Amino acid sequence: MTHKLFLLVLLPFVFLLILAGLYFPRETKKAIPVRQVKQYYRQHTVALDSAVTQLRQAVAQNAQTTLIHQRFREARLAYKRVEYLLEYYNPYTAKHLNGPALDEVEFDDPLQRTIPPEGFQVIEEYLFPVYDRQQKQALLDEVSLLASNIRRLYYIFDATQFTDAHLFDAMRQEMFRIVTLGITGFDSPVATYSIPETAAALESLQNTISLYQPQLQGPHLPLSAALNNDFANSIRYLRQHSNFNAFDRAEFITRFANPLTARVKEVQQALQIPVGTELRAVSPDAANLFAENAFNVNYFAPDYNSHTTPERVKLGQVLFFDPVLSGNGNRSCASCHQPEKAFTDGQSKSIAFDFKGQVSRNAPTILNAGLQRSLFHDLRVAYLEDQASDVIASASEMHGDLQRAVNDLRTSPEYVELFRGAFPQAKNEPVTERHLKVAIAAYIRSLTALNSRFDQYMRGDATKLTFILYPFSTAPCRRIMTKRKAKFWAFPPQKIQPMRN
Amino acid sequence: MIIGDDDSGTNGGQVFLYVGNVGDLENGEFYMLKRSDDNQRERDIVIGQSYDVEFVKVENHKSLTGAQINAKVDELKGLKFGRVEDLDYRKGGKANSREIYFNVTGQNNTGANADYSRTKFGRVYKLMLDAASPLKGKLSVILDGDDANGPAKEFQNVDNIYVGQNYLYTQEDPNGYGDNSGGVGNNIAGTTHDSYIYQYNLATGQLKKVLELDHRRNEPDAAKYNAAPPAGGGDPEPSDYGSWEYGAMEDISDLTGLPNTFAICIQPHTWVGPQYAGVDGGTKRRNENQASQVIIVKGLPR
Repeated sequence: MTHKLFLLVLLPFVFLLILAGLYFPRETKKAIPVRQVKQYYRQHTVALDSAVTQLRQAVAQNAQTTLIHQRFREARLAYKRVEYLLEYYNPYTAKHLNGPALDEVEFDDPLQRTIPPEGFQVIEEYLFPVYDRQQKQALLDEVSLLASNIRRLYYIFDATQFTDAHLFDAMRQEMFRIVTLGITGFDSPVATYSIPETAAALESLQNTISLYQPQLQGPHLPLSAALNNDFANSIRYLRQHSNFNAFDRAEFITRFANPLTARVKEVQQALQIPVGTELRAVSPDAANLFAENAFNVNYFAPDYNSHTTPERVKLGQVLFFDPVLSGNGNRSCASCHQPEKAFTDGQSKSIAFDFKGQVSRNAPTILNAGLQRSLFHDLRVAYLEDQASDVIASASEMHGDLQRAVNDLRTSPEYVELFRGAFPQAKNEPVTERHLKVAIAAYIRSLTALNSRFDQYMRGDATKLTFILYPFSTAPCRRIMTKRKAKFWAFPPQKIQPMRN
Repeated sequence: MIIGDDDSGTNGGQVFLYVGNVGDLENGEFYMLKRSDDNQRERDIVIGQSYDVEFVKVENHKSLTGAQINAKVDELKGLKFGRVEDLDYRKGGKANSREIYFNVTGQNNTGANADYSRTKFGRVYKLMLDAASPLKGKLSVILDGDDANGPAKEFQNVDNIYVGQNYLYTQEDPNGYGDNSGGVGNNIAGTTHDSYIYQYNLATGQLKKVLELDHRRNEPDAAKYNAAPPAGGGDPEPSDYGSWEYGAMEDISDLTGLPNTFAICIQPHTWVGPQYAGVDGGTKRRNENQASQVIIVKGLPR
């Protein structure tokens, strides 16, 4: 075939290609990132699978400990490259791959059987700080378990549709995860390799968001440049400060993680990708984890009908200070939760009802109690509504009777008015036990404020912690965020959530 | 397709409906059961009354994650049951197929259920779908384990359900909180009996116990079936009342050619031994060492 003829034959196809290029609608272009990320997820799951296979081989072949450690670290890096997608789309599997190495008992299991943990953190305890070769078989079993859990993913890739909104949401959740579980070493407590892992996780986000860069044109070009800079600088900082024990968490969060989290949201908004509106503990639209109003107290309420409104807070506040709720009309909630003492009574054990001795423990503050997932020392209730009614009914505390209190309140026109304002949808009688509990809970939920010096510091006001800590320590103030303390700060005790059978 | 959600957390368990063309699991629509008056509290439904219910659409369900669907429950005012464990439909064809029954197994009245708004000992519901539209119906509770004076007062957390043309069978599970009288061992504040299968006559409403698990606590081979050590460790002791459970009850009449014949799965939780551990050669739960049985029962009317 001559060159000329070849060109002639080719021409219609070139023309067709050009036409196709013009013709493909914007949507198709926009669908590209989602498709590519799905491909990325699949490829990197294969990579994770093979990294775990390599780890297994090293253990099976009795390789030197340094090599086994290296294989373990490579496998964890491979995990971090898919973590944000795994945690978002396959949280159940993610828990089996990188959940805490703690026995678990399901809330609803009548036989209270102990479920042993699985995954990287279990394996880590076999390998670090020292690998005991006596445990080889048990270790191999755990690695096999990890591999079989990874392979579960091959069967579920196609089940979920990816969307742009998901990917941005997943990336921002990964930023929260990096700050709480990653740099603190919480998800890798012994291996001390968490800083390079964080860099790998950030690179996976950088990789994803770069797919959206072509859409950031015109007025958004400066944003595109800023995004590049933020990622590059954050990753460079992690590379330059990879020593786990010396890592300055507070500096990383305030200088890099927080601005980067906000930047990702800025990009999302510029691209007009919707931000989720569903109710969550950390609001989907929070600029970063330390932003004011990042946490949503209504998430901790039992249902929509119990959400906080100004009218309910007002009614709850009046009830909180009214002795009508107690059995003898002599004490109110505020008797033990005194505002001037940070809503405690300052006693090591609170004075019991009618001054008959003491109750068995003290009255804790109710400030920020609205963010607690479970209440009482034994975590027996999940909602402030039930906490309030328990204390009111308790013979040694309020010794009250909700139904009697409701009957009393119904005779007061002022109260009836307040209840009607707080529960306008109530068709009949607005003064009910349920509404009384909801109002008190609403008042307690209104006493939520994350505005301590620590919070202010984490929001960027560097003067706040210096001022507190310098008198007590010559170490830089930021050392408050060494790994152990960060753990305590990030993880209040929580009851294990029930799993499905 | 109707499925149940075994959730005891803030959102509780829902009843979901998938509507698509026969065999199409890709392009159908997804719905959640709610009361027409928006009341989400399970125990506001009482025996002897019938309630208007409807299935409300979960928009764009295919592009929602599980967490996002769960977060829709309050938004769509979905009914929050205390763990929907199993559902079945009445056999016999025609109008019978629109008659759905389901078990809500119950959860302790602590935690998310501290206000006791969901069942604790279990309930059986009847959902009668509208002839004109599967998206509407009437819901009633036909057996209520929390009603201390009702026929189901001995219920301990009914779990699996089978519905025939004339009879319904509901099967008990253990719970961790018993009712009010001590058990045999001392792990679980026990119930007074071992797990029953109840037979419910769909025409008359009569409830009858037809099966009870035998733990063989006082037989010569008691040690075999009561071999599990107590939760805190130590020597095995006689199993608690009601600590064994049923797994499923399937009609195998057509398979066997014998009418009124069932296969029933039994999980005898204290029948354990090393010979039962890891027998399938898999990597998961290798230390699980519990025996189990599938038994065949003949002569239960359907």
